[in-house]
Amino acid sequence: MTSPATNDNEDRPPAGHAAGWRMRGLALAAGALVAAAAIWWGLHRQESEVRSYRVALITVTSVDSRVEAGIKAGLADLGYREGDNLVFDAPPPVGQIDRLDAALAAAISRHPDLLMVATTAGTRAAKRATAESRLPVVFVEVNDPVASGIVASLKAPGGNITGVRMPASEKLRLGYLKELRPATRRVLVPTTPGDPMNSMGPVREAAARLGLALDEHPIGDRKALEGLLAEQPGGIDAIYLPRDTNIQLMAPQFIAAANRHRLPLSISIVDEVGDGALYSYGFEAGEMGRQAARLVDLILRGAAPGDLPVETGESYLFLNLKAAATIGLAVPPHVLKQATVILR
Amino acid sequence: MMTSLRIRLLAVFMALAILPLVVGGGLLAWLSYRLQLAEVYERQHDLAARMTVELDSFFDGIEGRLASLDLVREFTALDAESQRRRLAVVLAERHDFRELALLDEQGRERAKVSAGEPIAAADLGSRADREEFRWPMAHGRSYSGPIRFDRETGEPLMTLAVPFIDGRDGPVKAVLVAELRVRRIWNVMQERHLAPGQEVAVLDADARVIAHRNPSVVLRETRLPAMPKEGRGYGVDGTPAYLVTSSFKVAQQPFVLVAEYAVAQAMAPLQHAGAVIGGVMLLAILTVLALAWFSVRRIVLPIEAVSAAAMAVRRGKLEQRVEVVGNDEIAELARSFNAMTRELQAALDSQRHAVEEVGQLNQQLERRVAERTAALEASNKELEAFAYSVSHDLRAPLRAIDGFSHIVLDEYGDRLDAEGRKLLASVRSGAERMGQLIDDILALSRMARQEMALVPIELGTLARQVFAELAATAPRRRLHLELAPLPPASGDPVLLRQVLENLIANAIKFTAPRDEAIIEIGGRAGAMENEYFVRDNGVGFDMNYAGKLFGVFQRLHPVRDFEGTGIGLAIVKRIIARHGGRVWAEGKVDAGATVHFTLPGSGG
Repeated sequence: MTSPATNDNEDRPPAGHAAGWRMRGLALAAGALVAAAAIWWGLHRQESEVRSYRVALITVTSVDSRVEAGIKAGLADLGYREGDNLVFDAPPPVGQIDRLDAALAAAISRHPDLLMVATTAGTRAAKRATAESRLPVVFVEVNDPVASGIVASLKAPGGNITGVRMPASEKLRLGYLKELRPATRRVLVPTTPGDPMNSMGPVREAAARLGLALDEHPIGDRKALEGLLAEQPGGIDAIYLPRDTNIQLMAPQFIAAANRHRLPLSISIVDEVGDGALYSYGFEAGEMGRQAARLVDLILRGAAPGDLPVETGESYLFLNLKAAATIGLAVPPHVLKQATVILR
Repeated sequence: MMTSLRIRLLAVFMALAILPLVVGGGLLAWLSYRLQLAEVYERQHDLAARMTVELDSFFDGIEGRLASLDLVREFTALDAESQRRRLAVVLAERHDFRELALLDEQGRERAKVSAGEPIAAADLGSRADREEFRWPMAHGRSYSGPIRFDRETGEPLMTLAVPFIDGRDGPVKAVLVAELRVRRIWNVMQERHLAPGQEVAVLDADARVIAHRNPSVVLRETRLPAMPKEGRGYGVDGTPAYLVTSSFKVAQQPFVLVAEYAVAQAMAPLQHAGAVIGGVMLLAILTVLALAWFSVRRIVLPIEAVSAAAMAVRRGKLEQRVEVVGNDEIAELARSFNAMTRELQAALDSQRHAVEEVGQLNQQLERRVAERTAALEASNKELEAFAYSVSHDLRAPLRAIDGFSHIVLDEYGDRLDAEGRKLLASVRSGAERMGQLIDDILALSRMARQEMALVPIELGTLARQVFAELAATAPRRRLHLELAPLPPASGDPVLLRQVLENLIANAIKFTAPRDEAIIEIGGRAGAMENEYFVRDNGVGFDMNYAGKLFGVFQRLHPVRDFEGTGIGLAIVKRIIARHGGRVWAEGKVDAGATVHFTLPGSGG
């Protein structure tokens, strides 16, 4: 090391010159380490960041609980873990249609990322409730979302709503009455008076094709039901409960009546065949939930609901051989082979 | 402009250390990219091949299931209701079909079941003119129709017609037409585990997506702008992707399976590797920079110290030294610098002593010159005073001699004989000459004392006047003046007139033997001084004696030939010298003489 050695201050480097260099070198090294650490941290930060989503589910009847289970199972398959990256807000079924609006408002006030809703009535209410917020909505168990005014078309729903519609299984379900008992001629069909959403159109069309006479009975209240079921329905070969939430709520009474009168009973919800009905043909709520979970996942990952075509659920035949035995019906083998679920 | 040594050294360090590092890193990154790309394509080729095999076997299985209906239990021999029931079971079994219809050899529907609605006997019709009947009938092989989308569910459907052949090579006895739900192959695709960013899609001949792991893509009836090609392109969702395609057929219908790998995800491992390489390189670069910084500092700091010391020495601080530490080249430089500074200091000290001595000697010399000059001036003055007083004092006896000899001639002339008068006349002539001599000596001595008034003078005009005045005194002479234009002059008008009078008078005097005297006066302007001359065509002189011309009482010609005191040119020389000029003469015996003189010009 060489440095000027003189008593002349003007020509000597500033005091602490070498020390300044050393400090600068140390600062440089420290800065390099900090920069490297910052880059490393920046690269790995994104990986560790996990977002949690809140999904609300509004259901009408206890049947919908199977949908909930399906949704949860489907979301779990897609990597969602409740309490980890998913908060599932599913209050108990509202039970009555007129309680839907309040339940939806309450769920929306908890700021979900997505709202799931079951049934046509529930989805229409959800559409109204999210008209301004454009909160994404995924529906299940809707019969005809286009006719109900929920979506513009199945292929391109538009708006903030998409979902899984019920398969058009009503015609075939009626057809199974003939398969099970070819002699069937006259069928009792209870309906809700003035129900704009009833699915009777296709049923009547199929009945005409199959040579079945439909004995449609509007049932406004429990009293009307009791009146209908009290008397022996004359000339009736079977009972067919259409897709109608009100009528579905009366299923236990119809099951009892069918067994009492040894009549084949077709209900609209496959999951409730085990309660004593002879059979049902249609969607399975749990599977529909799973199907909807995939749409939920797409939307949570950024897809616009309006760009996701409405999907259609799959239909399955559920047979209750115990009920068949009760009413003295021998289920034909070819029908038995078509059943997905056979309850014995 | 000076570029700092420190910056240049740092630049060299950068070039030598960082450049190879950067190039190496870049090369490594490029190689990693190529390897990753090869890996991506290999994976995609593998995926496409496996998926194609799976889809092939799926369709084969479907076809096989339909064909096996007849093989197992003579299906075609059953009654129509039994056939319908069998078809219903097949329809419900796996939900593979939307509709199944059995056509007899005439193309009539014998049995038909649908997943959409119940079919009554009355609904059965004929398909005799439809391709799905005619083709299998004609070729005895399965037929597949183009994809169509179901209006109710939006799902793609494909017509698959399988002929039932009588015996091994017999005629076609029936055709089973199935509306296959393509959806079933979505499940096949969904079951395959794919890496994030990997995707597969099946396109029909119109580039419509008929199968995808995301049903929404199919239900939307997505159609690609063109059939994808292998290489880097865009995935079904429009994001950049590496694509590998594989073709397969279901009966006649061609399909393309596209295995895509989103570029972002495919290259994600590279990003990691890049981050690691980048981080390592950054650290390496920073380390090299720090090392460079310290090394440069080790080299530059001592050099800067030497430089600073050199600057100080340049400003005169010769006592400046640099501290020598270590035993390297820079220490050697510092040692040499110190030795050099020491020697320089010693040399400068001795020089300073010498200068001081010379200064002292100069002072002594100047003092002595001043003393001598003063003494000289004093003696000059004394001499002039002496000359003056002698001349002045001589005048009185001279006047007495002249006056008394005049009286003698006037009053006693008649008493003297001719010889006496002649001698007395000689006395008077001698007295007169002596008077002239005394006047000239007085004039010469005045020259030194007379104050000069410098004014611009027209020498030409002055010369003409002087010539006219002098010519008037010799009316019998033929005198001719050739006066050329003269450069301007500045000087004392009285003294310069004296110069011209003396020179012209000399010219007239020394041309006396000539019939016609020609006197030329001319000059020329110079940068520092103007030169003038007066030339005559007189008797001239021997140049060997030119040095004596301007001395006092120096004469080159005897008085009997040319009268005069011999002081005229001495006066000229003195006047010209007082004006700061020079004077000299040129001549040749009998060939005339020229006297030159100079006066300071405007530049001097």
